[in-house]
Amino acid sequence: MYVFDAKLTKDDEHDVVVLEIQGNFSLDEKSKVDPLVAEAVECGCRGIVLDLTAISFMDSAGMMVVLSIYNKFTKAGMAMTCATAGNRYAEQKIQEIGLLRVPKFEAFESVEEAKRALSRSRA
Amino acid sequence: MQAESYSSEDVRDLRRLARLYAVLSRVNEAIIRTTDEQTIFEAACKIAVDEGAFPLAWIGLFDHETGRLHVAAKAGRDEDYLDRITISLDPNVPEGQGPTAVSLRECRPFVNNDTASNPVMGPWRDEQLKRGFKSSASFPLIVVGACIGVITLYADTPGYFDAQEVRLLTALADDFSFALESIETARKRAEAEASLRDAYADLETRVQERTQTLRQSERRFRTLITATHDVVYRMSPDWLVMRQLSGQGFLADTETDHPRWLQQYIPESDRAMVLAAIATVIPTKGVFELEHRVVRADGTIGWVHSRAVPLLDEQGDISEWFGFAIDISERVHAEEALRRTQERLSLALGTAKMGVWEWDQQAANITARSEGVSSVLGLAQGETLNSGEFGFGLVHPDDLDHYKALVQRAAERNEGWHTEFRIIRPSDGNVAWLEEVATPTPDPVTGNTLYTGLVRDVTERKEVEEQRQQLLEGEQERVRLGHSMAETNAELASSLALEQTLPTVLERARADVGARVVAFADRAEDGWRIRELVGEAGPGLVPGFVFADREAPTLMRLLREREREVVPDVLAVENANRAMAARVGYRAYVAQPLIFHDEVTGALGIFFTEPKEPSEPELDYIRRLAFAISLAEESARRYETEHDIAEILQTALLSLPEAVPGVAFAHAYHSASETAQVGGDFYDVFEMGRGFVGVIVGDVAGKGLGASTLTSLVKNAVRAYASENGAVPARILELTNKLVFESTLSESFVTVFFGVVDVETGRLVYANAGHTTGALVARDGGLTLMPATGPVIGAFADMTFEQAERQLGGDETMFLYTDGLTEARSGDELFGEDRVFELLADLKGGNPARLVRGMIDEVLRFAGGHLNDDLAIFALRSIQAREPVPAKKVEV
Repeated sequence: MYVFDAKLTKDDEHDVVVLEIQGNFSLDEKSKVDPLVAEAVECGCRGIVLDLTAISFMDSAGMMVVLSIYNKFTKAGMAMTCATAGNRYAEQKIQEIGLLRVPKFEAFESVEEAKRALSRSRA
Repeated sequence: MQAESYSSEDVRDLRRLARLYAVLSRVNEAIIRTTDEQTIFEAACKIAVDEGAFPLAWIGLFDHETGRLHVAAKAGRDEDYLDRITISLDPNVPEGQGPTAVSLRECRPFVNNDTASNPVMGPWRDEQLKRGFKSSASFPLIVVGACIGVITLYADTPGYFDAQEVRLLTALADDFSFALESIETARKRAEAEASLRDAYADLETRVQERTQTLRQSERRFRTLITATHDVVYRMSPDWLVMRQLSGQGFLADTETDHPRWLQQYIPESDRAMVLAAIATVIPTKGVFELEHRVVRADGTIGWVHSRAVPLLDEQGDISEWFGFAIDISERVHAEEALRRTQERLSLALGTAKMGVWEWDQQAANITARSEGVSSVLGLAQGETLNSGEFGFGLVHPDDLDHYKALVQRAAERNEGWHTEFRIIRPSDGNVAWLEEVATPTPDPVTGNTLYTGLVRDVTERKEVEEQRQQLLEGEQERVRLGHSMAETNAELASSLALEQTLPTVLERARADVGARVVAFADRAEDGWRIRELVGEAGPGLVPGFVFADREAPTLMRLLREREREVVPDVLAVENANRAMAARVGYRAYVAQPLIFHDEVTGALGIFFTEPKEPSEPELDYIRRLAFAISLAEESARRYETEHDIAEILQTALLSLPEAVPGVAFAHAYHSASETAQVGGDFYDVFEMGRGFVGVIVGDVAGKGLGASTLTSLVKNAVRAYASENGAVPARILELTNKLVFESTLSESFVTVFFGVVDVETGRLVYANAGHTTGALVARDGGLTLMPATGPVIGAFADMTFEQAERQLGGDETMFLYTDGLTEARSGDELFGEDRVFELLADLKGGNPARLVRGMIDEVLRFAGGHLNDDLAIFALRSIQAREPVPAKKVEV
């Protein structure tokens, strides 16, 4: 369950990309996520859903990545939401980073909810 | 007048002569009146008997078939005499010596005037005397110089035939001969005339038949001409007038003489040509034959193949020209179209540098079938050469065996081929690439196998392909070397101990470029020092070996000129260090200077066993390798410096007071590695005045000097804001967050636990900015947790933080730590919070140092003695004693 994996998928219907990170997300994995983040920014979509429902560990380097994703997307005029699906650890990390205190940031129970929220925000 | 007197004898002679003249006269009359030979014979015999009073006269003719004399006519008193006698023409027998035989044989008159006494008359004497024949005479009948028979006369008196009678009878015989000759002549003429008539009749018949045949033939001819020709025409001998033309709808007909036929039928463009052809054939009476344009019946222009032959009269003069023509418009148009197509094809082939050839396999000759072959193979269109000498002779020696084998195999199997090969181009002697496609087809005439080939000069394409291939190979090589260089960069970047990574890096480089030796040398005070060397070099050439400057001319050149030196073959370069080449055992080398800040700091030497012209990607790789090593060296130097600073800084940051009144504390710090001792974890404890003690435990994301700087910033900011604001940790962290956010990069953040202990009351107020959950450990092992009360510091501006209160009893110990503890690993397993809290419960509150020691021991045991992250642990207890308790640093 700790095996790291990350993948980026595009949802044309909602015009969003979903970055799913699972397993142990530490400094060692930062180099694998960075290209996906760059690709996500380049997609021109309106937003990104950070899917942390299967994250099992995130160290400070992982937190820095999450923070950098938020910063890059907001600078590019795109929105970011998060899906944790009841993963308390993920919720805690999001909270530690301070994202939940950011007015425009929301965490959702599911990826689909997060997508719809981004889609609605466009309308 | 004087009367003469005659005797009776004279009268008898006169009467006899008168009878002979009468015979002669009557015979001549008969000759004149009669044209029949037999009638003359019979008349003469009868006249001789009747008028001449000869008792017997007969004519015997020589029969050439029997060689005997046969009786042609007779008259008088025969009384079977002629049937009874025998006459021979043989002069040696008595029957051949009588008057008839002698006269016939000797062709002269022969007279027997006395049968009774004449000795030659012996064979016939009795028969003659019995019939009263007393004398006889025979006269030859001569026709055209040849004696054909005899007329023999008998008299009833001896001595009847005197000279006068013989002369008269000879004249009679001559007349007879003349008559016979005349009859013969007339007969021959009649025969000739009959023969002539027959011949004429036959000729006439044949002429008629011939005429009929000719007419049929002519009809057939005309039918054939009409059927096989579109135009039939007749022209005057001088071609000035057309007498007739039957155009069958193709050309307008001409029924009467037409002097302006040229203008009507021949378009102006071809008139001169037609007239020239006519002028040629009229004097020679030859055959007119020409293909030319005509004006068709519908006014359009067509083409005919016209042929005319002269018809000659009896004098051999031309009576007229008979001509016929075929409509070849379609053929000409087709040929024209074909020619244009061929021209276009030839042009296209020429433009495309293509050519068509034909190879007669059995005849072993090759023929160019298009112009393009000339530019490609130097063979003019239509030219034929021996295929063995010509075809194979052009092929590039390196491709000849393969091409021959291909062609021979294809020929054996009657298959085609498609190949590409090189030739020595005949036109300029340069190497050219050809693409050739050949297909076998049987020659319908000779039955030989003909190969038709399309050959194309693809030199430019091959050059482009080769360039592309070279580029591709270069690109592939560049990618391969790029990947390798990425590994090298990663290795150089991952370690600051260059001496440890150099052997791996140089060995990889040696394999990447196929070198014998790769060496890295740097400037030393006394020359050039080999820092590292991989591969098989000569004896003594090991790391640490120092070359004096004079021993390293190449390196000195690099030092002066700062340019890379590439020597593909040391034997071909005058100033090459051949002694060194022999010593190390190389033929080619690349010497690449390491330049940093415009200064040559060292050099890479890449040595090859064989002569070698390194590729651009290889040279680029070597350049990048040199740069990476330069950078790594510089990084190491920078790190060394930075590390020194950071270490000093962190030593300062981690330095704690020897003792703080009212509290006892212990702490431990562990850096993740020996070479990177400067981490981002920190702690602090300080007096705030009025009996308050501040405690900070934090973790800066990142390492190095930057992390230390941020640590310093946070630590000092908290201290400063604490002294200004008092025991309000939340407010202090809000101020610190604002300061850090504005002072650092957006991704920088710090987790901080900041608590304020009132040493008098044991009241603890704290704020936890995203830091690990601290705990108050009671003496019985009970735990009171202190989780995060707010987010990390520095991530977002204007963050607010919560603060919480706890009561730190005298028997409780506050235990704080960084994530290096919870994230310590045993394989994939984390040490984790639960294990921390369980251990704290086991350890129970009390002596801070014991807790720290116990936790360190356990986590080290868990992680197998190796902690992969920085770790800071801080434990504190409130003491009522006024005497300060020295701080306890627990070694990890």
